[in-house]
Amino acid sequence: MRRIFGWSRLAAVFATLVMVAASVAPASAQEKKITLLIWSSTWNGLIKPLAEQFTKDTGIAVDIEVEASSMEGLVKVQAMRGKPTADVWFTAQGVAERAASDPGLLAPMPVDKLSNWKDVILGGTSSTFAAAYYYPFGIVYRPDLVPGGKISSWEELWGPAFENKLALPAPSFFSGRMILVAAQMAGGGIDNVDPGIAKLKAIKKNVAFWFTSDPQARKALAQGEVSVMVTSSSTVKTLADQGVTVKMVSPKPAPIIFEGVTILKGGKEEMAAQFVNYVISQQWQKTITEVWNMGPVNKNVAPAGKFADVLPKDGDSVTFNETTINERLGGWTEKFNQAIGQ
Amino acid sequence: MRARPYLLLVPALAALAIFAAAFALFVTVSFSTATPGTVLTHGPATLANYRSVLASPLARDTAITTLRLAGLMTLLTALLGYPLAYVLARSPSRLLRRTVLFGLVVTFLSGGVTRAYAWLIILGNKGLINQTLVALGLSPVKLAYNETGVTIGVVHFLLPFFVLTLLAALKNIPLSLEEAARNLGASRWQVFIRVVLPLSIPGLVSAASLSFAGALSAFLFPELLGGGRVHMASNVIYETILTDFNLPRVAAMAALFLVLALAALALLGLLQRRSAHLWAGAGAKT
Amino acid sequence: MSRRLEIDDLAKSYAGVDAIAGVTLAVPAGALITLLGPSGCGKTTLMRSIAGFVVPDRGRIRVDGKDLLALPPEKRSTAMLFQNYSLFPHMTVAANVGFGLRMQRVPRTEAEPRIAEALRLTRITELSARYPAQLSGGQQQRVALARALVTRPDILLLDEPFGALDQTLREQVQIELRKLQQSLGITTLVVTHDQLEALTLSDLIAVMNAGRIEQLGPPIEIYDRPATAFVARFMGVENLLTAKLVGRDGDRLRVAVGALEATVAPPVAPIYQGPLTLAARADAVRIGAVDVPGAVGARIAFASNRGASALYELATDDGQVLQAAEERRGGALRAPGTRVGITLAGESCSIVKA
Repeated sequence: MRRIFGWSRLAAVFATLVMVAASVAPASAQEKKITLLIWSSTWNGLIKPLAEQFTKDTGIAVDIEVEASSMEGLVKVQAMRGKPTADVWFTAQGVAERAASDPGLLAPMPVDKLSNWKDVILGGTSSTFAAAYYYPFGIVYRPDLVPGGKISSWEELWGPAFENKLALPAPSFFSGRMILVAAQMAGGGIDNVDPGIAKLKAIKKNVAFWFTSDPQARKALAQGEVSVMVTSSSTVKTLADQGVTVKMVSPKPAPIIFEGVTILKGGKEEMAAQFVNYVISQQWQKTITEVWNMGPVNKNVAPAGKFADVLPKDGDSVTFNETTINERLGGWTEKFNQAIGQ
Repeated sequence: MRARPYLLLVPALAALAIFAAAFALFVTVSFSTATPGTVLTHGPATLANYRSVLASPLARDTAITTLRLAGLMTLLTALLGYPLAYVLARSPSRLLRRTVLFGLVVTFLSGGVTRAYAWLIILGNKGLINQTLVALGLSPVKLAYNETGVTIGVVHFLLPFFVLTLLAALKNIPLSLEEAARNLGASRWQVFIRVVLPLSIPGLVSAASLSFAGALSAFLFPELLGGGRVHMASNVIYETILTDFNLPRVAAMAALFLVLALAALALLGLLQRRSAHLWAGAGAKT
Repeated sequence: MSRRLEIDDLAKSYAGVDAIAGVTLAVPAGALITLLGPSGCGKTTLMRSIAGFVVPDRGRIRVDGKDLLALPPEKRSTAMLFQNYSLFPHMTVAANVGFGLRMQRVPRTEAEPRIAEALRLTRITELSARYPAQLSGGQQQRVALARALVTRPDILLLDEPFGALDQTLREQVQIELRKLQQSLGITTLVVTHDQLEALTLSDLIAVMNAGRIEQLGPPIEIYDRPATAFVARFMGVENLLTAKLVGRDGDRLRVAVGALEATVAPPVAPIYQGPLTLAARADAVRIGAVDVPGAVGARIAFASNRGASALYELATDDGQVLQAAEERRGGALRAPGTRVGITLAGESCSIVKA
């Protein structure tokens, strides 16, 4: 967990000082540098080498600030409204949509100036958001620890073989997708999640823990504390790099989630737009799917073979209305916590 | 130019002013209304958020869980910490004192996250304890991802604060009082029960208050060791921000939990003053 | 019933430094003995060994022949009055006084009259409901004494008992304590560095130096006939003078200090070699006219008033500096610079070991 209260307070004070310093130094706006607000794992595992290429091509240096989660990023973006210390913000689509409701935060995408914009797949863009990748939300498991070495449906996770073996995301992770999947399984849906929460209550015995930190859950999967983690496809790659063999399956219903970039209002929109154009470029998207095991958003790039394996079958995938989720997630979480609390 | 001593207060006052301002802002927010699904808030001032939190079963359960766990953690910390503090204050063995102190200070040096992961390695389903149990042919027990794990982690975190606070109080009890008691026929145990324990109550209450405050505000250990099941105030506030993003309502929730925590601490403070009052200034003459 | 206290070859060292270096001492039943000496002389270690707070390296402590060292502090029937009184701040005076009886599980019906008696003896009955913090230093001391006496200890141990009291109160309390101790017949050991206190209270004084008993005897003997220069100095003898034996007069010795001569009693302990040291109190140096036979000429170097008497610093013609005391008898002090003749009163001097 990267967020510790003491540190964040200190960071807030520090950020204030930085802002004050920035406001008395107007020349800094002319500097050829942009700052990304990004998850550290995404930066280290994916963007860092690409950003170096970007700097070489454009002469624009890339610096970073770290966010622990999309929502925490939103808190930061809001706190530095008008004078952001970052220019490009990596976030989940739903969170970007929420941020867009405040006209002071996000700059509109300069669609005309983005040569690659027209190549982005359907659903991957909005007026303030460009997806960097997509992924299915599914079951990542250790074949060596799972009976029969294979999982093919969500329903199997409710079976007695998985007692105390599951790491499932808490509602704050993946914006409540776990609740929505359970709701659909139980005959409910986004308008009625109660059956889903009842369904999750029935899996309590099998859940070792509900994770709010993906490194913690990954570690538990790697150590065999759990044999199943419900998460995104990038986990397969991250664990493979550590020498842990895992498989992923995205059974029906398989939510598809977009994550990507937004441009923050703060005076460097033009340089930020150049960066966005790189993110959605054919070249970067190829790396994103091949190296990071995520879905490419540029239609000229085919999903890497490994990634294609984890993609849901035709007709199994689902998408949800992010606005509705944004409005209701708080209430779902409260119900969920009441149901699964100790 | 002579330095003026009160100038030394300036950094502290500035820091306090910043906190006070932040706090005022946060209380102000709690009276506004959030626009659903957005990050926006609007007026006019309303108590609706407070009503909503007070009516929420999760908030009520969280308050009960938080107070119950904080109480339990404080009690366990005191039971473990008192003997350690006493050893540090009175043991004639320098080696023993150093060992205890080292053990306590080392926990200060290791970061919270590191410690939480270390506890997972010990307490986990396949952790050291459970592997040992299984090797002995016993059935494993759930020690992590529940209240047990959180309690162990937080107690371990609180121990040094408790011990060092109590230590100062114990050191203030003149050794000659213990000798006087033994001289009058009291066994070691009687000396402890009749002299040391009652005289350490003000210090004990201070140390317990500090631990209680620490336990009330526990975040990291419930987050990492609680497996998403242990709902203490800080975690619920955090999760509510991340899912609801209703800042006004979260601010109201945080304000209410703060009031609750302050009330609990005020009660402890009253207890301390009561106990200290009985023998106020006792140390002065002796 | 009074008990006899015997200490036999007791020794204790800390990190190789002797705190007590083989002390042997017998205190008769019912007597009050004072351990007198400067700080670090071992008197406190000796007392704490008796109470059981110090475990000696060797030696024995016996009360009426019974070995004390085998017992833990709480089983020894010794009651200690601590220097700072060490009253339990969370208990009332009555509870403080009753603490020992409670620990000994004395039944209430018996304990209550005994507590009342101890409070009456120390004249603090009216304070019984107060807490120590509400008492003056003198009152606290009485409580501590009552608390010690109520258990009817074999041995009473008093550690610098009057150190925290002011001068007038101190004298009054000393006499009171002495009377009480005598009437109860309780064998008592007092530790102090105050010679006047030792003289006022004691049946016996043991002057201690560097972990050993330098001289043991009744107060008058210690005062009048110090055995060593250390004891003499500690008992306030102003003049310690190098002397030469010049002859004998019966069993008395004639000694010369420069041009001054005196006839003195032989030393308490035999002195086999080395120069003699003559301990002469200021009042043994007599001031008279210059032409008195046997007198040595001197000049008054400094004069100070001591109330009924005056203290002079004298520079003799043969180059010595002496302190002399003289009763004023209503007169003015002798003026500095005045020439006088001085003699030594041998009966007020002693020969001591250097």
